Amino acid sequence: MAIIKTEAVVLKGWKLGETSKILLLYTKDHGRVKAVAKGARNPKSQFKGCLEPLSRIAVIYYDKPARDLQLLTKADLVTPHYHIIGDIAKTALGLATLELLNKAVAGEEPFPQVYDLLCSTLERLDRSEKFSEGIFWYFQNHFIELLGYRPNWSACLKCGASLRDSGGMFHPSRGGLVCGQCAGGAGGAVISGEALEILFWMQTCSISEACSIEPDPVQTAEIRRAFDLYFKTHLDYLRPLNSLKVFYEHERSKTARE
Amino acid sequence: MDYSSKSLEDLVIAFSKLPGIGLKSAQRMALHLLEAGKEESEHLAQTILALKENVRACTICFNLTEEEVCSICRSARRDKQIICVVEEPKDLMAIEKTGGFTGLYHVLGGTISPLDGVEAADLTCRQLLDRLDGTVREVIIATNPTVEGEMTAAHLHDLMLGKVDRITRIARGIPFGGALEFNDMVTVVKALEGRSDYS
Repeated sequence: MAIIKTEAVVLKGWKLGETSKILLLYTKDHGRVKAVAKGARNPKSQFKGCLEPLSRIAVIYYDKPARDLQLLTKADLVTPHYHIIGDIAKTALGLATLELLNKAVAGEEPFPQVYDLLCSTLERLDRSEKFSEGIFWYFQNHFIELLGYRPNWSACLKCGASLRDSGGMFHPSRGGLVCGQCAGGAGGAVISGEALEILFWMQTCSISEACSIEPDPVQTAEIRRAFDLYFKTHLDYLRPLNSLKVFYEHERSKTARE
Repeated sequence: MDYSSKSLEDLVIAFSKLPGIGLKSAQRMALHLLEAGKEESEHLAQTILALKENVRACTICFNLTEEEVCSICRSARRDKQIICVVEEPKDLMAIEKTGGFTGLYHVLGGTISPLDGVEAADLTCRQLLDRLDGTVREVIIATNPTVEGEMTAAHLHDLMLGKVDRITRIARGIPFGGALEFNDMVTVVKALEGRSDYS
């Protein structure tokens, strides 16, 4: 049995018995780890409020390779996300980030770049005051790239013609975008040049810039659809995301109220 | 499992499915019933059956009751101008035990939990809105201070805005008998944000 000291983000938690909790952690050095935090729901527990989903924590746990469930002995908050908690849009986007990551990564294989991307996404989401969804788009763009499926948002996959002015059509069988000519009337989802410009820019911009964009509702719908189609085409099992459904529903009712 | 009796094994398995009961405790309970008189087992069986047959949700607040409307909703002594919204009946029981609240309740039946696929439509939010007919002056949102609980509270706040005079949230912060230095950062910050006038 080894004592592991690392950092982690809480992906999910389940109640166990009267006061304990089972946690799904995404650790920096050991990938996804399931652990039990005994007495975590007891008001006098040393774990207090740091084992909620989205929390970035420093943990110590006993690791027994033959065991599915490790024993968490210590956890301390590294970065609290004060502004995500209580904000429906930010919470839903944060949870969508966790949901996507949880579905995509498997087992205890460390992926430090993904861990860093996750932490910076949550941190930026906590601080964002403008267009929070931009941060989730940034995460999706870079996450799928880290998984080895870098999207080409700028050129036709068949003839290489630039799509950034004319826009393109999503072609699931080709795994991406093609120009109107190459689509050959085969149909598919149309994505405008303006939406592609944003997607392309997001591959190179910094995460702090990602929430500074101001897409109109049409571009927003196109970008959402572009990600959805791209993920569905390459990693079918990752979609749909329940948290995104909650986010879209919240956005709809917010617009209706306004 | 290695039991010489199939009936004993079945009972141990049945007990072990209850929350917080492991195989050892289940075995102890089953052996206790075996040793006890027949009346005790019959009483237990009948009590469980009666629970399943008689207990249902109050048609107004969704608290557990044996009538169509629970005793709290029927009571003339309760303040009908205040509704306290809780996640589960057990939360209602916890508040009732204190004797410090005299208003009515509304049980949501859970929280919005996207990771578990629970949406607002799966809760009793609509029924809560239907109760805001002008007589209710204040709604206290008493969901748990968890990510899902806070998300649900924010959703309820948005839903009820303009439909009731006052929407309040139960206080979060340092527990009575606790110490500042042993609390996590979120709790301390929420306690500072939720500070109130000293009176």
